Amino acid sequence: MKRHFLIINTCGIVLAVGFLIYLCASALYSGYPWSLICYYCKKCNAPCVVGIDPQGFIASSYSNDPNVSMYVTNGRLPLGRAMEVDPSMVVQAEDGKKLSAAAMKRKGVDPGREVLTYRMRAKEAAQLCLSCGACEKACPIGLPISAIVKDLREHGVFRGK
Amino acid sequence: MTKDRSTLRILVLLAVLFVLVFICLKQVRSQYPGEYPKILPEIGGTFSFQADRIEIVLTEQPKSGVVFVFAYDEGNNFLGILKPVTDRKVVLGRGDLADVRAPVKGQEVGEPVFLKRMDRYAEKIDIFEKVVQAHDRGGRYGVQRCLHPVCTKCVDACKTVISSGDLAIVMGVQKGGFILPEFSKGKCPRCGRCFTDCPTGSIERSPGRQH
Repeated sequence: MKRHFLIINTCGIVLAVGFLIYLCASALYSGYPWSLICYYCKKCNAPCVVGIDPQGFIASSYSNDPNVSMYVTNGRLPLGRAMEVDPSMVVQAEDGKKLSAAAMKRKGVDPGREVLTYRMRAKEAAQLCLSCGACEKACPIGLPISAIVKDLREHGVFRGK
Repeated sequence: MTKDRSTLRILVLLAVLFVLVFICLKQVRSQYPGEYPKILPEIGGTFSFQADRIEIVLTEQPKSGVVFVFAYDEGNNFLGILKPVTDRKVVLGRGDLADVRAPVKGQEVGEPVFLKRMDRYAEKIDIFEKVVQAHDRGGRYGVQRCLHPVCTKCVDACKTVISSGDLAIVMGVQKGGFILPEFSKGKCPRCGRCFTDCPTGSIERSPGRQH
């Protein structure tokens, strides 16, 4: 009995530690190792007028993946533009339903019509960011979130690449 | 004779020191020439009022790709909505809800309140109606490229350089209701951070002095 628990616990610990090591390595590789100290307080989200959840940039950086999906709930752009950028981008219909841009177009919505965004990839969210720095000011530990946004906006990839 | 020589040595030493100080000062000056900022006049726009929409044609495409369409309500609150600009055109539709509200007292802007949290509105204010009402009663409304009260980068940049609180750049309300930076030349250390940090191009480097 004890041996079984020992094996299970050992495997669990090895998996957990392995995952933490992988996370540290990917954060280092992306070029933003400081992103690991974010503790998800979400204070950065409140002052963003575009409705961006800046924690999404942090998550994409320590995952080293600019395609991580994140909330951008108050971005406005024409449906045609949303289709060009990412047809799978989730936008809000007038009745409040959340649909992909492609689904909105299939419903017959005019491509020139302005839609409210809801979720999109981090590299596209960086294009909508105003660079006002309100999220950085709100962060209690002063994480330089705009550094990630700047690299994604200008190069489409993280600093490490 | 010895006394003359020592006096001469002291004079030569002083001359060398003077030349060295002069060279060092000159180098410091050329490294930090500094430039004053220039606050650009606000972007102009022609409003075309229709039954269910307002079409605004701007004089130029803004650098950030978005503008604030604003109107003042009866309580002298600044109500603004962030709108994208496509080919110098902005469309404000009926049902577009304001993103931010800021109280204005005289020339000073109070603390802004964000009306939308994630996908829920804390307060729904139809900005289309407010613009139409302001137009009808002769109130203030318009469009501006400066994103204050959302963006405070110029003031924050000034605060990092001037610790006394007597800032060279402060935000003020202009005649047409625009909220723009106001610049005091005498207080400005010419660090250049304001126009470097401005994301909208509302503040530029003053022309004239070159590096």
